Amino acid sequence: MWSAIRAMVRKDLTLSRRSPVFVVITVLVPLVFVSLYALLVTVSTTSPVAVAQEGGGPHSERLLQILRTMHNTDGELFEIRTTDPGDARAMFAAGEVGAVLTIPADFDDRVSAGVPVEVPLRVYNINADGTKNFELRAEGAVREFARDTGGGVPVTAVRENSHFREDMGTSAYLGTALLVFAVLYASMVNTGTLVAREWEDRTAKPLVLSPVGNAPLLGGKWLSAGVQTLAGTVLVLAGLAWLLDFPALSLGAASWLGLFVLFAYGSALGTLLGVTLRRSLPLVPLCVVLAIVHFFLSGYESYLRGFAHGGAVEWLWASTHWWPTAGLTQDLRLDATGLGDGGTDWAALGGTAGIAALLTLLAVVRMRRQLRFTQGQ
Amino acid sequence: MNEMIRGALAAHRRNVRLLRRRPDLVAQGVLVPLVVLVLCAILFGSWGDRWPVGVIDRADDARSAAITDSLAQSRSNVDLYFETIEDDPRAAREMLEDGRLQLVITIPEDVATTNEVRISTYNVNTDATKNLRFRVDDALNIHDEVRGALPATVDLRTVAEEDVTRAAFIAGGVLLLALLLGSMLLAANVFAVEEEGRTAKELLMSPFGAAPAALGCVLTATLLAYLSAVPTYLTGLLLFGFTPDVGSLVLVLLFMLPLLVAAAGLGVLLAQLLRQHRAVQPPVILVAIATFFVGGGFVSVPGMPPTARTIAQWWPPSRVFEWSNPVLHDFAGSYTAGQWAWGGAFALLGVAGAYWAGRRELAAPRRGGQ
Repeated sequence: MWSAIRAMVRKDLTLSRRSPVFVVITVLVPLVFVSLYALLVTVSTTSPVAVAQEGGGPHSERLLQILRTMHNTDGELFEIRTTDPGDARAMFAAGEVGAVLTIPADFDDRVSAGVPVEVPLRVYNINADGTKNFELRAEGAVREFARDTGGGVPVTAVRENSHFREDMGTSAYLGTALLVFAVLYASMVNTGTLVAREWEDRTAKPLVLSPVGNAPLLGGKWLSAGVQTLAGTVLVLAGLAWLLDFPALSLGAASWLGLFVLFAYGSALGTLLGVTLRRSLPLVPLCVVLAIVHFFLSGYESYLRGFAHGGAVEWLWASTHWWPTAGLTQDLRLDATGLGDGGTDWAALGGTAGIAALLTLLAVVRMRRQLRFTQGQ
Repeated sequence: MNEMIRGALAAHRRNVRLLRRRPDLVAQGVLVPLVVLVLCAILFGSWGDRWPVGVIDRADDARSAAITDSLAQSRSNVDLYFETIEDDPRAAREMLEDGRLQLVITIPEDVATTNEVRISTYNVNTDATKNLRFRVDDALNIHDEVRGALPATVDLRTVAEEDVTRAAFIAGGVLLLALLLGSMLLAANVFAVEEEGRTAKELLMSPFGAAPAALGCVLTATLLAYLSAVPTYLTGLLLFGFTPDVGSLVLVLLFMLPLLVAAAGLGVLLAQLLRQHRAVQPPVILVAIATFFVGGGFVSVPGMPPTARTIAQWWPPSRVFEWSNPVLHDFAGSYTAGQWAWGGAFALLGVAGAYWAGRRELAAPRRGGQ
C-alpha cells in the first residue's frame, strides 16, 4: 500500500517537475488574487479627498488637522490629496478625486462669532457607498471639531461598551478570509486536476482497477496536492504578512490543525469533482466558484450576521451560517489576533473534518460505480 | 488575404458548432460573473444602508424622544441609516452577545442631566464598527444641531440628483467583467481545444497554418461574449436595480466591441503559451475577478488607496471600468475620441496577438500522439 502511494506521489511530482508551468500557476495565482484583493482592505479605511481650504485661521487649521489625523487601527480615514482650493476643484472636475470638501473663507469668523457655518462637501455620487463614506467621515470630523471648540452648549457625549476588548483590524479580518480562500482554492484545484489528469491522460483505468484498491490513488493525489498547497499557503501567508501585516506567526497549533482540516476538506471536494467531471475544463472554474463562495459566505459570516435581518441577505445568511467552515474561519482569526477566549471551536473543526470524510467516501463510491472508460481506455 | 478571411470564417463556423455541442466551454464565462454579482450585491449592497439596531429608551422624556427622532431621521442619500428591530433590553443584549446585532443604543434615565448616551457594539472588525460609530455621530449631529451645539455642519452636494445604489454599481461593473471574461475565456478555451482534442496537427497542415483558426477564435469569442453576458445583465436588471438608459447601454456595448477583440486576442495568446485548459483558466479567471475588485468595477479608482490607484493607472483593464461606468450610469454622455482611439489600438493589438499565436503554433511542441 505505502509503496503504491509513494510511487503515485513520485510519478505526480516527476510530471510536475517536467512540466512546471501548471504548478507555478497553481502556486502563484492565489497569491496574485490575494495580493490584489488585499488592496481593497484599505479602501474601506481610507477615503481619498481633496480639501479646498479657503479659510486660513486657527479654526480652519484645527478642522484640517482633525481631517488629517482621523484614524482607526487600520490607518488614516482620509487621504488628503491637496488643500489648495484651485487644485482641489480641478482634481474633482478631472475625476481624480471622488469628493471635495470646502472649508469656507468665512469659517473662522463665523465659528468665532458663534454663528453655525456650513462646510460644503461635493461628491461624485456614482456609487452610493462612496457618498455615504465621505459624508459619514465628514460628519465625524465636524463632531470632533465641535467637541474641541467647546461652545456654550456641549455636544451629546457617547460612552461605548464593546463586545471584544478591542476592534479586530479589518486587515486581520479579511486576511484570514483570504488565507482560507487560498488554502481551499489550492487544495481543490491541485487535488482535482491531479485526479482528472488521469482520465485526460488515459491512465485512469489501471489505477481505478488496481488490485490494491483506491487508497493509493487518493492518498498519492492528496500527498502530491499537499506539497503544492503547502508551498502556495506559505507564499500567501508571507504575502499577507507583508501587505496586511497579518499576524501569521501568531497562529497557534489549533489554527494549523484548522488549516490542515481545511486542506482535507478542499482536497475531498477536489477529489469528488475530479472523479465526477474527469476533465479539468469544467473543474477549475467550479473550484474557483466554490472557493469564492466560501470566501464570501464563511469569510464574512460574522459580519453578515449582524445585519442579516430581512430580505435576501437574511435568507443567504440563514441558509449558510451553520456550515462549519464559517466557525473555523472565525476561530482562525480570533486565534491570530488573540481576541478570542483561547478556546477552540471543536464543533467547527469536527464538522469540517466530517464533511471531508463524507465527500471522500462519495468520491470513492463514484469512482467504483462509474466504471466507464472511453477513448481507448 | 481573402483566403485568410475565409479560413477564419470557416474556423468560426466550426467553433460555433463545437460550442453548441460543448456548453461547458461557455458555461464558465457565464457562471463566474453571475456568482460574483449575486454574492457581492447581496452582501454589500442589497440591504441598502439600513443597519438593524436595538434602541433602548430608559428615560422616556422629551430629550430621549428628540434623540430617538434623530436616530430615525439619520439617513444617507439612498436610505435610512438605522432600523430599530429591538427595544427590549434583555433581548437586545442577547442578540448583541451572539453578534446578531452589532449596535445597541441605550438612552439612560438621566440623559437630560448627564448629556450622555451609551452604545454597546459587537465590534466584529474596524470597518463595520467605524461605520456604526459614524452613524451614531450623524444621528447625534442632527440632534445637536437643533440644540445649537454644532459650530459647523456638513452640506452634502452631489453631482447627480440621485446616487447610483451600490448594488447597481456592482451590477454594472460585473456586466463589464462578464463581457471581458467571457471573451477572453471563450477564446482561450476554444483555442486550447485543438491541443486537448488532438486536432492541432490538422490545423498546422492546412495551407495557411493555425493563424486563421486563431483569428476565428477571436471572432467567435467576441460575438458570443455578448450572449454570455446576457444572464448577468438580466440578473442585475431584475434583482439589483441596474437599469441603465437603453442608449447608454448600447453605446457601452458598442465601445466594448474593440475591447472584446483585444481580450479574445489575449485569450488566444495565453492558450497558445499555456497549452491546456487547466493551466489557462486559473490565471484568466482569478486575475479577471481581482481586476473587477481593484480596477474600478467594485469601487471607482479615485476612491482607492495610492497603491491600487498606481496599479490601475498601469493596468489596461481598469480603463474599461473607469471609462464605461460614467457612461453606463449617465454621468457622461459619451466616450472621448481618445478613448475610442485607444479601444481601436487595443483591438489591433488583440488581432495581431492572435495572429502571432497562430504562427507560433508551428514551433510549439507536439505531444499525445500529435
